[in-house]
Amino acid sequence: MAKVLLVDDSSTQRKFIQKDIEGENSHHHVTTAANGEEALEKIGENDFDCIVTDLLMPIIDGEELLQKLHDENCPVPIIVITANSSQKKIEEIKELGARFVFNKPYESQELLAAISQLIQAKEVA
Amino acid sequence: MEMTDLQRNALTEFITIGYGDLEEHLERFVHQPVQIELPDWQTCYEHSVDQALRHFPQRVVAIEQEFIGEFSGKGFLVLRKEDAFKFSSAILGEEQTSTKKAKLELDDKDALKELTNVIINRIICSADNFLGDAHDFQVPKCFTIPTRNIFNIYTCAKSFPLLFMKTKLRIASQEVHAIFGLVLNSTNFDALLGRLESKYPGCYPSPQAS
Repeated sequence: MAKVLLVDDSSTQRKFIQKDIEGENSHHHVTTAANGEEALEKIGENDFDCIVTDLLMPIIDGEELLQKLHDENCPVPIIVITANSSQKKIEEIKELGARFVFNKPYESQELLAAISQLIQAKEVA
Repeated sequence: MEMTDLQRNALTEFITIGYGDLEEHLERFVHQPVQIELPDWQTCYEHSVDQALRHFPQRVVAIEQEFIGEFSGKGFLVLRKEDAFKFSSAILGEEQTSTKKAKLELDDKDALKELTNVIINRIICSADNFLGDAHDFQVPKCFTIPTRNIFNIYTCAKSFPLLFMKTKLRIASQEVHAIFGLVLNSTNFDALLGRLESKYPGCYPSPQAS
């Protein structure tokens, strides 16, 4: 079981992604945040195994969140879910430390597999 | 708007690439079978917008999203209210109720903004990958507005060209009429044609110069 922080400004997207992550067999626990600012507060207060974030958000967007976590050497692995499928943009996001980048609409199995892979890597480390 | 045949072909290619796998993406997004026709596109100014929107009622649902990059502008999706509900219900996994909703609720707007985000990103990013560019996008905004105000809302000056893409979609065999549009000012429209020129040498010189 993993503690996952889900960051997305869209309440419907949060609901759908949370449902995918907390699906019947995964047993993961999801905490939600509506933007990067809220996410930073929750990261400061909790110990997450993984962060799943959107890019396009008000106040502090996903890229700024990645940059801040990168600057602070935050060890929590990050998965980005974005509608932006530009290869250049995806490379930029990966350079900022995103371990996986999924394009919307993503496949829930792929997202769960990525979370499992990150948790296993953390356990091995 | 005067364009050479090569420029028109380049823009057609831009739109065709953008629509390449949009159908498949929309199907996965709305969880329903989707058929999308390649759009009938045109560039137009204020005087021809009325003609483009003649089949739409007096008020429409319009969702806009700004994109910033090698060529910047706004993308928008225009739907009849009943068609907007078809989309939002499909995305939210709701049954279409026999009693019509009076207005879009927060969840409906949220779903339509996400839908527009997927569509506009798909169109622009497909071109980005073709051209080797990257764009940033702003959070979409959703309005219910008088149809006649669309042009005023999406342009800051009457001289801005609109790239209109009218298309018909079918969601779970229900027909939906939609307009996707891109608004680019003259500088950005030239920038787009310039980027396409880099892939299609010969688009220029411009009609004025030729």
